[in-house]
Amino acid sequence: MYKHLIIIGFLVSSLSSFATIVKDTLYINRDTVNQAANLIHYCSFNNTSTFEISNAPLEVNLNDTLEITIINTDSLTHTFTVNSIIETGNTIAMDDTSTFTISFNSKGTFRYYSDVAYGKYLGASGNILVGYSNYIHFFWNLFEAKVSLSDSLANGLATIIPNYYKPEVFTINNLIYPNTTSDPIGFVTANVGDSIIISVVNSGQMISPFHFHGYHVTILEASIHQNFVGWEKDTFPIFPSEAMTLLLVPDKPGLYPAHNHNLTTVATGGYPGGMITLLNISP
Amino acid sequence: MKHLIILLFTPLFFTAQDDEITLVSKMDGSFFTENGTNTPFWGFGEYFPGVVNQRVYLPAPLLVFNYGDSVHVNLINQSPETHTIHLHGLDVSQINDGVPATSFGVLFNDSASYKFRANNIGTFLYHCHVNTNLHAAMGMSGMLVVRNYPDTNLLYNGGPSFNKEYYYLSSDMYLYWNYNTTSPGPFHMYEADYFMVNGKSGTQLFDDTTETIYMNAGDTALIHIGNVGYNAVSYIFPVAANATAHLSDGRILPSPISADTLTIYPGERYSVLLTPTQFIEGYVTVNSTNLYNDTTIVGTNYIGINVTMYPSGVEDNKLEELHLYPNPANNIVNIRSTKDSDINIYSIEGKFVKTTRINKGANSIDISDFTEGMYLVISDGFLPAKFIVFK
Repeated sequence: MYKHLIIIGFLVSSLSSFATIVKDTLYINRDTVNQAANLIHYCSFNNTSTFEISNAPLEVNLNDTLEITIINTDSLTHTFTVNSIIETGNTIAMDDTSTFTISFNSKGTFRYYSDVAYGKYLGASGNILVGYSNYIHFFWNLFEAKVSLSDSLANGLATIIPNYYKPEVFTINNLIYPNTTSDPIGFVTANVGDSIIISVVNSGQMISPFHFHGYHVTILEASIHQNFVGWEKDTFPIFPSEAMTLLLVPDKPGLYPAHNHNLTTVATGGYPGGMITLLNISP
Repeated sequence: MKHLIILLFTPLFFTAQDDEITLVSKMDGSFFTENGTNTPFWGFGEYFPGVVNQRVYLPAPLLVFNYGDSVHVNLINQSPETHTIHLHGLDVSQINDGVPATSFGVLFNDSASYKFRANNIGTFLYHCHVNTNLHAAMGMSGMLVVRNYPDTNLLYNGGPSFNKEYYYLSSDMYLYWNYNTTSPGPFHMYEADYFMVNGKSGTQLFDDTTETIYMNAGDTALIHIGNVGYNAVSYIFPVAANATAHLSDGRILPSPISADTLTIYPGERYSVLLTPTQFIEGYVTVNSTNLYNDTTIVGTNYIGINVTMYPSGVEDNKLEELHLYPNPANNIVNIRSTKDSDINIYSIEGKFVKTTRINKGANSIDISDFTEGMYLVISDGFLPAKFIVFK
């Protein structure tokens, strides 16, 4: 299901309490996708050279060193950026390959992305989850897109997001509900009493106030709203570029929505659509 | 006419262990915006058996339950579209979640009951979850509070005490949708252009003394704040009010936080305590900002706050509230009282209209011969109360 995650798991399994080097490879791919009759340009970090709409999540243990090889299949230069961890010397030229070594000495969710307009604003951004390998875990990568801006960004005609814009397409892992419920990395499927980790990054440019039906979650880490750490919430804002780690311990079975409560975002392609997923909790 | 929505936020209190409230959903509500424009909305109201024309309110009635209560919220749908009640933040079972795809919808002329146990103290919301992006924007939302019980003067067992309580629900509307209910959208183009607290905006809010925070030195006021709009709202309290947030989303915070400026995003709620130590005659500023790549303030409202230097316990602290509903009323106005009392009703011009005796609990007053307008209810031991007659 997640090839690179399985590899990582194997690498660390025999060195459970020791820091180790985790090797992984991601490809930067680009394509256009029809999202609810909107043609959107996407740039993604994928496990293979074949474009996939969802960025591949990365996972390491605490204090592990990630040796990440980036193969840029795009015709433009990209970066592999993790704020405060790798911000310089991180470019990958077109059709080139670069390897970066980075260490993580704190648990939580980190966002990696390509720090160029035609990268990050076209969705080249994903999750790194550190220190939660032993938990049932899922990845949510929030993003929104505006058709005309997507086109301009892809063609080099725009390099910034205007102060105010009205995107049409709202996604989790670049998927629109109900496709989010067949997403192997995002559709939360677990049992009552499980300790479930949800790794969230907001790769978009909008504040996403996210609401859980049925349950409260505990915010374990937050890159921007650090004052939220330890809070139990059912609704909370996730800022652009923010990375959060959430703990969900369901106390009852059920099928419950979790969605952006800026309700303009839940009707992509008709209601219900857009930035919605479900929590599927079995007894 | 712009005062027609005054007192619509009168809370409905329940004290029994088994509480039941029946709401009606309709799509024929109307309210007056600050500039006097009669504006359609969809909403919920308390259902009164035998009343032909049930009324809905903006916002929906405030529901207050006690911790531990077993609650039934019934819904009678008298509108042509399906509706539900989503009990936002109450972590109810799937069947009671109010989401048509995973629970059920309530069809035209049908009814249903939502059940939950009030297991957490704090501030919650309820709203329709059918085409939520439209129905919530049209006004189908309200606040729900679970208070500590039996120590209702404590925020929670072992927590701080308070002796005043206020409720503020922020919302916004894109009035174009309200005026074009048959063809709203596209939904991603929602552009809030009318910003409210308790369904009131601008002078409607600031001039309404029932919305003003009144305190004496030494008082502690519990302020319930929720946001059911599409924009973020920032409540800016006077620094002298010493605002601290103790709960959010119905959970006790690990430690209280300063809430001089408290930004609340769509769907969030906070329980805030005010413990002023000095005179305040001013206002709480409520700024709205959108969630896009912009921090421009797009709307501002003001809630009055008056803190005297009188010590807590002076005469006006002993005054209790009369709860009037429905409001506006037509032929009957119900008055919920905490004790037996004589009441006098005056027109807003000061003309005596009627006197009658009310008992502790619910009382129905015949106002069928009243003409349209605003009336004052005066009774010893109670704060003055207002109601509207709307024929």
